[in-house]
Amino acid sequence: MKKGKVFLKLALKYSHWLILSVLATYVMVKATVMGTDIIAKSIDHLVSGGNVNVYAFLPEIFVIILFATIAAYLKTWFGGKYSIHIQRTFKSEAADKIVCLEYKYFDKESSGGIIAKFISDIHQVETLFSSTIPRLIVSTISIGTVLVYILHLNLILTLSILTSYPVVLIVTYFLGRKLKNIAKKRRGKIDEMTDIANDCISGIVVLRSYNLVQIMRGRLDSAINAILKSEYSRAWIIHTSQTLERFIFWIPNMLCPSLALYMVIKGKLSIGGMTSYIVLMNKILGDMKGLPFAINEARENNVSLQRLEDIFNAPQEHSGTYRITTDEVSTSTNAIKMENITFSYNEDKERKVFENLSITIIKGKTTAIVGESGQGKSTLFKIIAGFYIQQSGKYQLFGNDFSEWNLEAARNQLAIVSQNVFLFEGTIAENVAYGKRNATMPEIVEACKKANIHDFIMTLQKGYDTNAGERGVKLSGGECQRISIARAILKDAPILLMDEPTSCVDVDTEQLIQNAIDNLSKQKTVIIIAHRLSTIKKADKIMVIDKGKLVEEGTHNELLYIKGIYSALYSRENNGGFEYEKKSSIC
Amino acid sequence: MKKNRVFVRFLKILGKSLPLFLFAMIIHMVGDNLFTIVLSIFVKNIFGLVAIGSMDGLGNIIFVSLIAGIIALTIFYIFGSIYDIEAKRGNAKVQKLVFDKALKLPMTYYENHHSGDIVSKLVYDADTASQIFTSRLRRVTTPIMSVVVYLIPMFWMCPQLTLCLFAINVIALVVNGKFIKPMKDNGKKMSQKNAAMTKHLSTMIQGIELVKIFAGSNKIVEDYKNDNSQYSKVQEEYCNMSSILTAINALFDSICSLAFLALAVVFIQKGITTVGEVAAIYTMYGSFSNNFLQIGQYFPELMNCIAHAEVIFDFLDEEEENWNVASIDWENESDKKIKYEYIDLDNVTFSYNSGKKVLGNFSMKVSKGKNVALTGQSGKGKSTIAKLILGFYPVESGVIRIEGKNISEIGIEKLREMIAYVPQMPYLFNVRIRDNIGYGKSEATEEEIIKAAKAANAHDFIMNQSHGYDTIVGERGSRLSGGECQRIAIARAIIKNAPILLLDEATSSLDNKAEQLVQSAIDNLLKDKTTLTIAHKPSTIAAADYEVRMG
Repeated sequence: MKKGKVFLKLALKYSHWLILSVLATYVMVKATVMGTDIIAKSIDHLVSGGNVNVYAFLPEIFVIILFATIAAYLKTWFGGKYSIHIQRTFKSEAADKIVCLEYKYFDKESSGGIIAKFISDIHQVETLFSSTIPRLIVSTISIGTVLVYILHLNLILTLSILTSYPVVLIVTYFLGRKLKNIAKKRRGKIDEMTDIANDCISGIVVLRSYNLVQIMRGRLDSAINAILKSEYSRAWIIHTSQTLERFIFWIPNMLCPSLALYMVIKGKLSIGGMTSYIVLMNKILGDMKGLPFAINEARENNVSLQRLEDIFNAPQEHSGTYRITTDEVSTSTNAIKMENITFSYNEDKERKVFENLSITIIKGKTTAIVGESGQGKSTLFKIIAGFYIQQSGKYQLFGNDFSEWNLEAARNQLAIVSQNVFLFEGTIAENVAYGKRNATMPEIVEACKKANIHDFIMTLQKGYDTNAGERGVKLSGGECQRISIARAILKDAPILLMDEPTSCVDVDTEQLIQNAIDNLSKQKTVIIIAHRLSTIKKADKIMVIDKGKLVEEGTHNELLYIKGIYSALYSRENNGGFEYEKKSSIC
Repeated sequence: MKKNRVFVRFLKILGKSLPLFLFAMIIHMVGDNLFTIVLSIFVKNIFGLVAIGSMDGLGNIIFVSLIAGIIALTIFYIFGSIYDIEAKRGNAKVQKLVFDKALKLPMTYYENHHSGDIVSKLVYDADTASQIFTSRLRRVTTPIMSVVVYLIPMFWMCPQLTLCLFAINVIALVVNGKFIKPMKDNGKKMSQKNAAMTKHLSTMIQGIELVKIFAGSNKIVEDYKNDNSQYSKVQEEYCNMSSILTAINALFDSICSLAFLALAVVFIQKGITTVGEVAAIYTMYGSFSNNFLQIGQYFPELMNCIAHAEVIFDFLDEEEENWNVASIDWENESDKKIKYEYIDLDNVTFSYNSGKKVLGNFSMKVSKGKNVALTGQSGKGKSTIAKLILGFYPVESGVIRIEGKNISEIGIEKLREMIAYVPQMPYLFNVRIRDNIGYGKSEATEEEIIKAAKAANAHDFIMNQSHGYDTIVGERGSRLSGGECQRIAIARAIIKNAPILLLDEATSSLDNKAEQLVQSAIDNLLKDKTTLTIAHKPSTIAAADYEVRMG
């Protein structure tokens, strides 16, 4: 049974509980064996015609019972503690680990898969530690203790009990391997099912407005049927293995009593001894039967354990040691400097998002980045934030290579307002408070005022305590966006990255957000990705990105003058020359 | 008792397979017990020979046992497989029922419940409840059956001894029963903690960008760890109860053995029974007491599963979106004189559950074939109007009419057939691009899909993707940019070819160039359609026939 490194470490760390549990088990089993011994001797005594004085045994038996009872409690208690400690520590460490994983881990693994891993696989591992392993321990110790006892009494009978065991072990081993593979596939299919369910529920609005209930049901049905199919193979194997085991155990069940009979008749064994043997044979065969089954269960559980190990082995984000001092901030001129950046997503090495892109963002200025959609503007932000790393080229933050920065310190310099606003199911205040550790209410209110969302919040019945709903479903697009801006404002980072901050708001609100941005830009470096001319016009510098390269750079007027790409995109709007203006005058 | 009803209802999910399932389960158990009895009788016969002191007839005994055993095992195997397969089918059926329900709930349900809740019912609760089929029921009935099966021969051999042993075991069972309720309560607490942890985890992972950028989000991780510690405490409570239970059962076991010894000695000395019988009873008793106590262990587990089944049924009993079933025949009503405009909102009042009043006596009319821009400050109810027209919520007062018919009478499917909706944040399913577009129309052909993509100015960038139309868009369309997602969503609306278009700022994520191209495509489309556009951009507003301003 191969244990991964993390669990092995934990298993060893808390092993004192395990050892105590093992000891308690041994005491419990030993007590049972001793009890049986007494009974056997009494029966012998009886048969040979003697009188048995039960009272003589009582003190001895009471002691045995006392030990057995206490040992039973302790074995379960220690075993439970062992399991609980391991689980708790793992879950806690895993949460820390997940947060530090490389961003692209979350691209590859859909969120449903990660969550399914955690919940369902942890469940399996819980079972492994809290029930399968204790069972294995009890069985092994029982078998060992009893075997020693009966070996001591009669070699031949002991061997007869063990006759078919090797066969059982071999058969179980092979079947176990098959089961493990099936378990692996099954877990994968359950992931798929969870993903589909997540996908459908998340997109329920589109699903219902396009009457897609039947189609989506079909998607899940396929996933469920696939799981069912693997269950059929599993059922076949398990039942075959169970039947085979029972059949194979038959042999000692027949052999042992027959041999015992022979020995009794030949006078080599007492009746009490025979009874002892039969009783213990039943006991030990029960445990021996259960052992391979428990081992297979452990192997299946181990599949889940491996999947969890994978999370720990996934690469973490790289972090250097550099932290900036306030002096260095004030003396550097360039907030961000990128030289010859080339980047493509892993799967698509041919499709380069950026090729030899060079950009300089001057501190304290507002820079707008424009370009056709799909040109990688949002990706640029991801590289700035260190979510992705460029394949080649240099990226410097405040004069220092980004890879040398301590990651947390680097990200402290950035605040992001992304295109897809993520609000979680908490109050509005909690959502804004994300921006700063231990933010106070006045700070939150201040940030909301600057983002022009405070007035709206005050119109709500519960105000700041209103629940935003999962992904902010209870608020409109514009409201979500402004809360996201408030969050970024609260963080008070020197560099503000805004990805389409006004795409969802009306002209009036846009103006107010624009004012907020204007105020901020006085002290901060602001980089905005936008389409709307009104947002772009006022930037200190506008950069145009086309086909992965920086093609134009300058102020609004300068770029219009060049009559290049920018001019083509915006001159019409600027001159107010709508094609449609004629139509509107008709109505 | 409510538990009974839940239990029976759950079994009925199996439908026609229920008799086969139960039958196979019982016969499977019979086979298992038969096999054990064959062995016990074998032992008893051996002891009989011991008493006689001869080995005659051993061969016969072995032969008979062998045959009986093989028959028992065959029954065990065949019916075990049948039972298992039916059980797994039952599990799949439960999941399908839950999911089917999950797709049909009223929109307010999704807003008030975390998606993790719903998915957890599908994956966690359905699984646990289905354990009733796959193992729990059998684990409870097997001991019951084997108890009966062992008791009879034991009783026949020596009634007095058997009765004493049985009495002690019954007391043990009652004591076990005392633990049922506390353990069930404990199970509930664990389930709650688990759900809380899932929610935190879900938030952490879905908002991973935020967690990395914003330090204040560490609170989520802390919350998770707190819940984790509390979960462990609840587990420790369970562990304690479980340990006590194990100790009690070990104690009873020992007392039984002791009593057995004492009584056996007494009975043998008084000549009530023989050594052979005592030995045989002792061997059978071992299996008997194991099974008997298992009832005490497995019964609470069965109860736990039934509790989860109850959760499932509460969910399945939720009301579906049914406030607008078709009560008029669309075709027949068509030739009635239409005195209403094509889309007509008549004194509509509506507020969300939170009490925030969004619309008060609001009226609006859209003539057929016209494009109306709906403008106004954000949050004033524009998106809400779109949702009301789509029938996602019932209005509090007033009427919404399409083509003169009250939408609450048209029938939800018919209503949505007539409307193509492009929401503000376009949602793409994690399937291929071609499927996402194809969802707009059932059985869309390749040509239709490409035509729609071209009309939405999406064809070019799609062909640039690594797998073209077969590219999988990623969760929530994560592999494409915002503007690309929007154009695919528009293509989806185009292919639907519905008479009414609801566009919620459909071009907000597009750059000017793409917007103009898409706008002109929409313009061509608009010619025969009635459109309601929620607009912020001046260019969008200017493109409309007239404007309705909300404020």
